[in-house]
Amino acid sequence: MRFLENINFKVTMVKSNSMVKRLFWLPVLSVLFLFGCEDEVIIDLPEVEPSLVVDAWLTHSLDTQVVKLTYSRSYFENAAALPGVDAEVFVVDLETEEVITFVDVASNGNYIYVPQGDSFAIIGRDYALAITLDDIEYYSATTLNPVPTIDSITFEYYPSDAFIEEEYYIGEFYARDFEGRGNSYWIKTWKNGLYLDDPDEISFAYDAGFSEGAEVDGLVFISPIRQSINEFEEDDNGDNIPPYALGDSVYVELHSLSNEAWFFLARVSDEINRPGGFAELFSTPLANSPTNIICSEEGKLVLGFFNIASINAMGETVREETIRDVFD
Amino acid sequence: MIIRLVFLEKLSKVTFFDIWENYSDCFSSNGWLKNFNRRTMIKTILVAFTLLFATFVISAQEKYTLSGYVNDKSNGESLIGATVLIEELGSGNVTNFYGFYSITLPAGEYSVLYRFIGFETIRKKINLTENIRLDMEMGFQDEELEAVVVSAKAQDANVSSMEMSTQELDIKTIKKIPAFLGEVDVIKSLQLLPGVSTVGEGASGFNVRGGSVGQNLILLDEAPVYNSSHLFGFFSVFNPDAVKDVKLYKGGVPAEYGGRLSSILDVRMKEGNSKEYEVTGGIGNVFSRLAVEGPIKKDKASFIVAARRSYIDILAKPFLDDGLEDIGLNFYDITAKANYNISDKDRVYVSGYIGRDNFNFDANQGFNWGNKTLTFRWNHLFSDKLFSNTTFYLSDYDYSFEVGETEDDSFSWSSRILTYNFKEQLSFFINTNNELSFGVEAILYRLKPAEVTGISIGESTDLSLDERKSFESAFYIGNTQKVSNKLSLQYGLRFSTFTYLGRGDVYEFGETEPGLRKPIASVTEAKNWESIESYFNLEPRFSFNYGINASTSIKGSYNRMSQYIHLVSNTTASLPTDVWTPSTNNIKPQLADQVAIGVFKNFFNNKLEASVEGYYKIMQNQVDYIDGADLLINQYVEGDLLSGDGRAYGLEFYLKKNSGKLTGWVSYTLAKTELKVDGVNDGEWYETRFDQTHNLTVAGNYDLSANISLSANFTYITGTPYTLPSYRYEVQGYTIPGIESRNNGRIPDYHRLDLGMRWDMRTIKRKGKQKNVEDYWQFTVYNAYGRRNPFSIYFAQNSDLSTVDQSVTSATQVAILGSAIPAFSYNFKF
Repeated sequence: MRFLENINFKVTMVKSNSMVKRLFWLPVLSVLFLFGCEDEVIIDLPEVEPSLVVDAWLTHSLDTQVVKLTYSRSYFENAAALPGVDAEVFVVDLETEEVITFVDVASNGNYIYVPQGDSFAIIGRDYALAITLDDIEYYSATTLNPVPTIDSITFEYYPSDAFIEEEYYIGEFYARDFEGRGNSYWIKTWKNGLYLDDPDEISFAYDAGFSEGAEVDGLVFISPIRQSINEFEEDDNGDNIPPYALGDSVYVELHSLSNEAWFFLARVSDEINRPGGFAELFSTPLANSPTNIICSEEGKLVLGFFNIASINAMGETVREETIRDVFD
Repeated sequence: MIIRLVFLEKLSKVTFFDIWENYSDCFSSNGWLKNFNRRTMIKTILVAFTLLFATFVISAQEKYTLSGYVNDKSNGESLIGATVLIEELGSGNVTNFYGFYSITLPAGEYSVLYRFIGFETIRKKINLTENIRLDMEMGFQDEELEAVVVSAKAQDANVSSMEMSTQELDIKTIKKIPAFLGEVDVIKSLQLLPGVSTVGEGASGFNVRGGSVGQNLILLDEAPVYNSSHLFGFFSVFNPDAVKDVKLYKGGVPAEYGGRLSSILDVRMKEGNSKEYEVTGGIGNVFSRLAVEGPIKKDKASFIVAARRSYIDILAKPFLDDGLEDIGLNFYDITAKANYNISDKDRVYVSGYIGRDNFNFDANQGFNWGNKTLTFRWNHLFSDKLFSNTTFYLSDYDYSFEVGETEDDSFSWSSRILTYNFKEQLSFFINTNNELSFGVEAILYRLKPAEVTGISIGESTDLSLDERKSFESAFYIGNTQKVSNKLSLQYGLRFSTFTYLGRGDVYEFGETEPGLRKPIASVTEAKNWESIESYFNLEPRFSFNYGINASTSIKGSYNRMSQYIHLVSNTTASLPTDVWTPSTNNIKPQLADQVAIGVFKNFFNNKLEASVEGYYKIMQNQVDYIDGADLLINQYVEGDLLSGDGRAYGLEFYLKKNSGKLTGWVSYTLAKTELKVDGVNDGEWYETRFDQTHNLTVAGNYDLSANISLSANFTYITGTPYTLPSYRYEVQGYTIPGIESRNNGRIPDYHRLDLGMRWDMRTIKRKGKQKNVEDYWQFTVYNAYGRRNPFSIYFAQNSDLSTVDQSVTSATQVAILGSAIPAFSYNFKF
């Protein structure tokens, strides 16, 4: 279960979003890491037939809404993905049967819809996605769920230590999960205007915890989720950069998810968070991530996901008022 | 012989053909359980009993029994597997795990030979006119005579014994093998033998003949050890100073053992020197060891206490500051045993083990795990022929995990497996040709998968899962029979039962597409001790040894094994946090049927032992997992498990040289192990993560001089399968790998050379006096040519480039150990 996993040491190694996790490595390091090593290798992979990829993560906001269509390609192909052009893309309100058309304005596979004064969607309603491409139809459906309000963002002061050789702050956002089981969320963070998009920075919640197998319902998000808005990076010299320093800004968006979309993110996180090294001892076999897109042609593979999220956001800077307490 | 078999068939009114017909079904289909009907069951029992009692009928002459214990003269330790041979008959008996033997013969004068490798053979004339109790103490061979004596009286057990698919390592051999970081390791040593493998360095446990890590029953003085490793999988939990004998059954398992599918590793502890006090110890790179043993009452009672502790944390302490003061890593184990000879007929043994691994991140946060076992045994001789052993043990494995920098935001998780066992085993030494063993076993499991409390800003939530109780029992009977000078048989039957007990929620799951999480159909609550589901299995065991001549034999075996508790783990290596789950209404017991056949031959007057064995194993109800299975603290975990079939087959070649300056062995295994699971790889057979086509080991030890010996071992293993991605696609900026099938690639081959040198210090002082201390240095280099043996290959997007439009993907090969690792240790005994 994910609640644990993040704290559990196997993923502790993986998701370094709190100091605890950093610390964990030290004892093991001291004994073993002297010996381990990694080499990049070239592996021949068989060619595969390209499949349509639907990247449809819409929001209940006034932002331009994008459904991106591309094709899958060989794993080591590092050129841009081929766009899926000349498709018809619609989102349908399943209550009113109102159809919203998405148009590929630039012929680059990005089908867009610009909300006019109000969002196209209403919280609590079900929506369908319909795509026609090369005479094949693709469908999906989801529910637009509500999202709780972020109450506050604070920063905790830490003096310099063995890992970070200057004073630093650990940011934390506070929000309370809705009562009742089965709410899921995606937490997206921007630090000083830059989106934290590394595989180890994916943050999601099932109720107030990590997964559905255990009940952590109706609480304020548990501490590792609250602290998942921190960036742990090294600079060019290999020194750790403070997660936050005085004056830094943070912008946090809390997105509502369907439970299927939560499972998708959880699966993706497992598959792309491959820290290597000693953690390989405890890695699970690589596996496919799910999709909620259905293809009209039986047996034809389609990839990607459709979700509509409502968003609550908050921005904050590291300043005297937001520094929670002093660590001694 | 043929006449006798016909006679037996008539007696039991069934033919062997009948039985074979039923048995052979299991090799053509997996519905064997159904085919193995009651009729066959009864027939099997009948044949077994007729074989047995027929021998009573045939021989009704005046007979007396020669029995006793065989011990090591120097320290009083009982000798396991010493041969007691009646020269006139060319047959005899082998001492059991307690050093006891019993032979019943017609009255007469006999010459009895007591033999044990490395000990001087004793010849004793007896006049058997009444029952004789003869306890024997054997002394070490005089080293100068060794060459002569060994060539004259070497053991031919390889060829003559009933055992096949069995590996025995005595602790002296284990101590000679160059070990990782110089730490003598029982389990790592086993991995050098045919049919035994591991997925790689640092992985805990071992795989036997295509079985998974959780299919080995690891017994320390009969109590199961659930996690046999310290520091994940780098060191095993057995302290070499306290281990006497290690025996691994890969097949041909006697009826007294059961409960796991692949193997039984039976580790027996020393009893402790009953003659004089002895202190042994050592200082190595990882552990410091100390063992004290001695008589409590000379020749009557003795004890041993052995302890080890890692000390890297103590050494590192001065260098840890800046908030790291409380970081700690240590592991230790304490092994203790005492025994008391109450009388000629009664002996009691108490043994215990406590081991723990501690990882502390700081003062409040940490992770620890460990095993505790306590075994109480009572040997009683009801008569010279009837040996009884009563065992009660308790095994307790637990781990706990605590994180959270403050009390208001914390998480604590503990898990525990308690096993209570009562076992009564009886050995009836009927005559020189028959040794009957029978017994009962009752096991109560209390599995507490998770006691969990999570606190978020002062509000706490209880995530604990129900404790699961279950009860396992077994009855068994088996006989080892010498049918003729050429043919010996061992046959038996084990009847095992298992009951999954309340209290707790019982889940039923609905159908779904295979490979996806099963939806919950209903939840009912079971009362305390209520039986939720029961299973039973009949496990026939059979082996034969047919001697072609004095130096050649053919052996074969068939056995069925069942396993009722399952290790649930979908990671490459097993973790200390892996949970064991009982068989439930959703999880069926695992079953395995194995046939093995082998040729055993000794050359050059038993100086060289050779064997070739082939095996074929079919496994049912193997546990597998859906993609993205949520295995920890998940009350619905059964919905994430898949069930499938397994098959494993292979050929094992083994050549061993026991005596002379150069000793050692060559072991080669050619094998395949596969799974077929609905929901994985379209239900096709696929190779398991531990499938190794070729596995070659050459291990040698050379005595350079009286005080220097050199050792080396070389291993070559085919790379194990892993899963390769085929394609990539992007969703929300993340590059997601796409898979066409599980375990569709192989990592490069593995090979490694280890070197070792043992340097014994002088035993004589300058003035010519004998030193009180025996001491030696051991130097080892593990992975001598520093090969970066791949453990796995992983695929990832390069996060540094993810800010540009496309992230770059790459494959990285990981070696857990990438260089030569030298180590030394100093060992002493006084």
